[in-house]
Amino acid sequence: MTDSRPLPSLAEASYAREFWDAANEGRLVVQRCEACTTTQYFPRPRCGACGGSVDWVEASGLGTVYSHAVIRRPVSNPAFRDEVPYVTAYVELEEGPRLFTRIVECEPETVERGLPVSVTFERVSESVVLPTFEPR
Amino acid sequence: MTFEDVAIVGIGETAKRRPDDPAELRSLERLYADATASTLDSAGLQHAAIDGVGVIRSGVQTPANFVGHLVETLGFENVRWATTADTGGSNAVSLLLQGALAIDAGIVETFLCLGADAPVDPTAPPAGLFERDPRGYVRNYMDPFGTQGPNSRLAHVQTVHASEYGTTREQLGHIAVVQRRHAALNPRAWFDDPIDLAAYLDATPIADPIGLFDCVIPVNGGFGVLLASAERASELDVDPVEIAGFGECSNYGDSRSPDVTTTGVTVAGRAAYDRAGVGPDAIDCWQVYDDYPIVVAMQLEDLGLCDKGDGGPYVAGTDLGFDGDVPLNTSGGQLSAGQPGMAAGFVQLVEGIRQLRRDADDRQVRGATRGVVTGAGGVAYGKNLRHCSVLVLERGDRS
Ligand SMILES: [Zn+2]
Repeated sequence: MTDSRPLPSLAEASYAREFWDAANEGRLVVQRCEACTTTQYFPRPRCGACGGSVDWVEASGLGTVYSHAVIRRPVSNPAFRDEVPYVTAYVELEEGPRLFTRIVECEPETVERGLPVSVTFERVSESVVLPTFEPR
Repeated sequence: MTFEDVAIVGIGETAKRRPDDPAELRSLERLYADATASTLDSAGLQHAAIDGVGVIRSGVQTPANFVGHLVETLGFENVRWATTADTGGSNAVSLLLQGALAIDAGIVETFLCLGADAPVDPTAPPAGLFERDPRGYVRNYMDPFGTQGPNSRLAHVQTVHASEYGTTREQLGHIAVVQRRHAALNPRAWFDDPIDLAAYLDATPIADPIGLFDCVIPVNGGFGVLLASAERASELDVDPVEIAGFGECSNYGDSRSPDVTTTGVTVAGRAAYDRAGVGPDAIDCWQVYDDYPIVVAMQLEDLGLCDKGDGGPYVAGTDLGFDGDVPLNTSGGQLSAGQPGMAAGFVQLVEGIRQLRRDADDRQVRGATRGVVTGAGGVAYGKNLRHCSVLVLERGDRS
């Protein structure tokens, strides 16, 4: 168990590189199937709906909170101990897919299902920027 | 009857309390050896009679071909069927089914299902049970945002269930309270002190709405379940238990906009009931995978005990005691008997068999004849249970 903040394993999944490169430039992208046009997130090597090839499309960055939890105890990832309480959420993007993220810039207790949110970007290391969301 | 020529003839289980010697505590081999000995003892079968062996994949790191390593360590010779199940909390049921298929196909006459894990290290700080996964979506798309393991991920699910159906912590607390009562009657359980609803509600918040008594207690432990052909079983002095029905389901539901309040137990349960030719009314005791009370409540809905969304009022208004109307997790379950890592599914499986053998002592369900066992492995991205299993077990006849 390490105390340093967990980061994505960027080298391992080359098919996901575009997601992190875009976030680094302040853009949110999701995959879209070239065959059936289904959009998906998290990044996968192929379309989960039909097995087709996927490309990347720009997302609007707008969505609503589908589900959330207020983290009180950092039992599995102690690196976040100085940040509690904080809110993790699945945000349903306008494009359809749900994205696991953090809700920032508000009191944890004010987050509720259906809350309209928009993307913002938080740099957590030299190479990694996380898309987080704030109320709009 | 699904597997007419297969019988469950033995169960074994190690105590969950910490041994005096910490060096023994993390030895998978020790847990497996002790679980094997107690399983063979309960069947009255000799070591040499084992010709099939299956093992789960534990959370503690093991070498590749671990089943071969284990067969060698335990000293079984000329084993004709050796296999592994890797469906997380479903793996006990998955392994049982692999063994039943091998006996049904005439490949082996006996099959020993083994599950052990050792998530707890008393020499290290309590946080961080297993090494972080080296790959996958949890590492890449959840951990960086600060997810805190299954506690926080099931908190999301409970939030939705509460918002859609009005499910309250007061209602779900009844599950934790009754299971703690059962643990106090189980000498192999971790906890032996009862809790009440007030204590449940006052417990330390972990990831709202999940509190401390919504979470399992991690323990180290090992289990065994022994299968035999019906012919072989008839030579033994045991009460056989039969696999009347089964079903499994992996990655349930619409992947794009899943309804996280419904689980794959709907699919697995329907298959199990159909194969057994019975419905929920015919079941005497329920061993329902209990990583969290909300997961139990959703499965009770999906198993047909109440309508979708009514799990909260149902558990609050039903006597779930071993001596009540709907006996639930009569060993104390993972919440109170303890969750032994990836061997967790054996908590439900072994207790389900034990009740039908009428070997549960102070917590025996009177006249138990037919029981349901469920397993659930993992939490899928944006969904709930990744892999679900349902068994209908029946007490058989001595021949
Ligand atoms: Zn497609």
